[in-house]
Amino acid sequence: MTKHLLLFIFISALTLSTALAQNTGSINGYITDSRSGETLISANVAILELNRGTSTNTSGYYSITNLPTGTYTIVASYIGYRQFEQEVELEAGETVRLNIDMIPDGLELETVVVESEAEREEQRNIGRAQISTELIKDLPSVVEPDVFRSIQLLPGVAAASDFSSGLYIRGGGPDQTLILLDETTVYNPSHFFGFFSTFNPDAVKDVRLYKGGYPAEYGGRLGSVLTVFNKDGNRNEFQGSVSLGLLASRASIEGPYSRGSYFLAVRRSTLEPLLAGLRRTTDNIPDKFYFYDINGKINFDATGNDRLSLAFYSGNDNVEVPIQDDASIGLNYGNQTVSGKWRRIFSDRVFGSFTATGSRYFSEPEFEIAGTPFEQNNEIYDFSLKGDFEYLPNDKHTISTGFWTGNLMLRYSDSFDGRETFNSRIETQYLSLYAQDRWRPTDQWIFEGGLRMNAFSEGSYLRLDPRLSVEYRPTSRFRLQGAYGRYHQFLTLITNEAFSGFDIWLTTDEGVPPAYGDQFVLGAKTIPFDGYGFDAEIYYRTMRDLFELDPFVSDASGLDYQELFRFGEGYAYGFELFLEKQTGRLGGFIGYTFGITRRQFPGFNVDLSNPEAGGRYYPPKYDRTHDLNLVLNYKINDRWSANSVFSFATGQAYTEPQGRTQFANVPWGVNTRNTFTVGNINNSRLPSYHRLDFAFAREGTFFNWGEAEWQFQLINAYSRRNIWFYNYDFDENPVQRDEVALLPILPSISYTVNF
Amino acid sequence: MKYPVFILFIFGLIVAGCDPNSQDEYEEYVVLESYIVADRSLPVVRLSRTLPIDEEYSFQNAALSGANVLVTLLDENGDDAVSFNYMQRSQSFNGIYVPTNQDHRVIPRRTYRIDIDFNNRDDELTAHTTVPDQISIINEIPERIEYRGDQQLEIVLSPTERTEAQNRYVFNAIKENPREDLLTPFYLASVADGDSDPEDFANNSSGLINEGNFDIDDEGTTTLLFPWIGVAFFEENLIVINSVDSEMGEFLRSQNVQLGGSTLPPGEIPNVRYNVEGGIGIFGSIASDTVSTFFSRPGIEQE
Repeated sequence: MTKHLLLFIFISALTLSTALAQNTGSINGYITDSRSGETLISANVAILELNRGTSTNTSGYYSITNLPTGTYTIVASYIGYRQFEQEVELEAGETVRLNIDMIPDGLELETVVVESEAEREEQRNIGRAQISTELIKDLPSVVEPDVFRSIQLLPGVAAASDFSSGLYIRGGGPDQTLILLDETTVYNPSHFFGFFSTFNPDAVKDVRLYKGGYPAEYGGRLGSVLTVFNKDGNRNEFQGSVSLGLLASRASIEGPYSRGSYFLAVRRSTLEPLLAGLRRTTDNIPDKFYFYDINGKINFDATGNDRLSLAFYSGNDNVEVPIQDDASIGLNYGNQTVSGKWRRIFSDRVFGSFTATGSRYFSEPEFEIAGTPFEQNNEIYDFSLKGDFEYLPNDKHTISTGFWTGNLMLRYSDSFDGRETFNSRIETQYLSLYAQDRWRPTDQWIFEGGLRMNAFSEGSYLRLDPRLSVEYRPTSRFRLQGAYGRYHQFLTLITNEAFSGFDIWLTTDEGVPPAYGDQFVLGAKTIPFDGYGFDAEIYYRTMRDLFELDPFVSDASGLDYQELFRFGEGYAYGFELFLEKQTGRLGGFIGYTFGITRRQFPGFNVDLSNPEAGGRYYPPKYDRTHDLNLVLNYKINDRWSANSVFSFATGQAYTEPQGRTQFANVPWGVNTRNTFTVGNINNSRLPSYHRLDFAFAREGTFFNWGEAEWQFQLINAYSRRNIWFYNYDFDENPVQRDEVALLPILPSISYTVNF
Repeated sequence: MKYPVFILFIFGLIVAGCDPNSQDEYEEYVVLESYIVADRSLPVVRLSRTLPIDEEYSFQNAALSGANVLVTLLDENGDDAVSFNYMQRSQSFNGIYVPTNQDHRVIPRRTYRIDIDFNNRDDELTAHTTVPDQISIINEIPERIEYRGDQQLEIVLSPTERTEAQNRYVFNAIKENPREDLLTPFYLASVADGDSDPEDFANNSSGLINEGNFDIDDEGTTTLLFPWIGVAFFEENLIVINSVDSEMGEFLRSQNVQLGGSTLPPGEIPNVRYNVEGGIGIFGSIASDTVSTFFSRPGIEQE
């Protein structure tokens, strides 16, 4: 089936492109950074005389077709780069390959820097958000600069706690966001039990978030998509960097070779000296505790039309902690991904890429208490092949189509006292096909419609997802947008928001249908003043057939697979406001989110007085009614810069026990069993959360060997003791409520050398 | 330009003011507690009321008097077969009710119903339980086992007639006269940390364990190895295997969830799942068998 579809796509695209290309010409190529050779995504390129333009795709490729013969001025622009201009003469039927090297701002100070409208527009498409890798590195951070922590500052994205880098986007849990690293699915991108994400900021080139209403080229998750592209490596010169931190350090190298470039970044925790010191004075310090990640990529420019790349990632967290005498916990989890990509310019109208991916996730927590081992194993092997094609029949349409097919093996097993007590191994083949058209009939209107088909062999599920978005631009400073989409999800993640080390992925099967939902988004994007952007979006989304591990299943042995789950539904709605200052010494943004999200599961959150009425809707813990983030950066002088982040959010939902009772006659155990009675689950709120962080950076040189930077940080500057949750102590009578606090004030320092 | 933003704010305020997840107030419930054991006489029934979370709790303060308690054995068609009256144990034991008939022995695989109403309040409670089939330990139990030695305590249970999809068990080890110097290392560490007393482990129980964990042969006998974690004390221990009914199982596992033993995030506290109409609590049943053995310290020669 896949073969036939591919043939159809090729033949259609090539036939059309040949027929249309007789009397006109076209210009295409890659746009790159002149210093590093990195391709630039969403760079703006235009024909000055015709007032026609486009932007580069995620491969840094652009194509302008159907150009009458003549001499044109090609103009390219990108944020932080000098404007590029070049005259090009075009004959009938000619295709001019024009690869553009953009010169970064700062290399020639006297030049005027022009910003790319295309990139700003891309950032401000409906449901989109983007965060620069520079900002990720500059923001105050607890252990390491972190992609996910930075994304949590954007409107619509909530954090579960100071200890969790999980992305809770528009009322969805972390599993509702598809995370792609170089187009490969990453299943648990966290270190330190979720404290921060696995993406090394040294390795990352581009991060973009589709918060909702995302187009047909993506699928498989109910909520959102996060795409992360790692650097290709410097194509012009060898470069490297070393960064030393208190808890982790990192190093990277990159450079050119005869036919392309390479990049390698390594990061590892450096906790061993600290742990060794603590072990002398404190009990139960881990015997072993480390994490690492390695990112690498090699690019091979085979021909002018063909580029190949091979990327890999490997990350691992490993900890062994003695709880007390004769009891210990071991935790070993990680991800490995590999992807090989072939990008080809088939013609001036057809660009395509094929990607073969492999992704492995494993989580192997184990306890041994009094000689009795408990072990769990969750493993995913996901091997896939995907193809994406872009066809430009004329300047009004961009047609995209593609497929994604693969084999997913998911295993979940438990063992107790050396005996396997549960083992589920599901191997399934999946296929997704999509087609979408971006149609711009006039300068004011843009329509994008698409359809995605998802097939999942286990359970024989076939689902269709229509997507549609519309944009109206009455003026150059004002954009009105709307989007609708249906989304299906075939996987679920079991995580308890507090600690991601025990995360378990499970999948649909016979009797466990995929979850699905609809999203409706309306947005307005404005430029109130030069250098400022103000955006607003409203969203409403449904979640149906949600399936998740039933929290009341204490022992999976002897149960059928579908008996492990509970099935429910949910909804979320809200609005987001985003004001950004884009230029000047003082920059930054303020983002505000009003959001409501609710879930309902049969038999959960029932009214004790009326259990027949069934489960009532309740807010998950991460539901935040109000969420505000203020990010400011200020360039003090040539050497010093300052960054600060202030966050305020409604306290998280929790359940306030109302009554209590005791059961004294249970035939085993010597203590009475205390139980609460509660009303609506999670109907109380913790005190509001707020925190202020600072970071100061000083740039300098390292013995004239390279550039260096000191970074001084203060997390939670006024030491607000935000509350994580309440713990109830039954040893006290009446029951005592103890506060479990989040991070205290934390200073940190790091030193980075770039050579 | 100003108007859309203004309208957006107003819309937001309206939506924010309409949060359907309203707070609710404390509500008092009648609490029933009773466990029927196969082949034993009818059990005590405890009746109390819940107290607000901020009040000091004692059963005496919460106990309910004035109840009419009736336990009925149902026949195989679900009709009433025999009923047994209860009475309050004494005026000084409010809330504790005992059967007037001490001769009836609970019949395995049969369903019992309890009905309660009160002379002094309007509540009416009803609950059912189906007693699991009686279990018997049919293998020879060694008199002595070396703790953490090569041989774990093996227990073979007789075939049973199931009353639900699979049997569920709770194991417990009972130590008479528990002493600190007899504690096994893991439990000794808990006591040394000051978190517990030796008496806390005198009736040491497992969680709820599904039958699916064990080997069941063609004849229906179930073989299990008693895990070392269940042994809190050296020397003589009583080992009890309990088969629990679905109501008891639901109560136990949901109580564990309420106290944090699940995948729910911290602070998300559900109610325990009860099988009592008109109130809360547990009317459950078990079948059990007991053996004894001596766990010797590792490396000490067997006497």
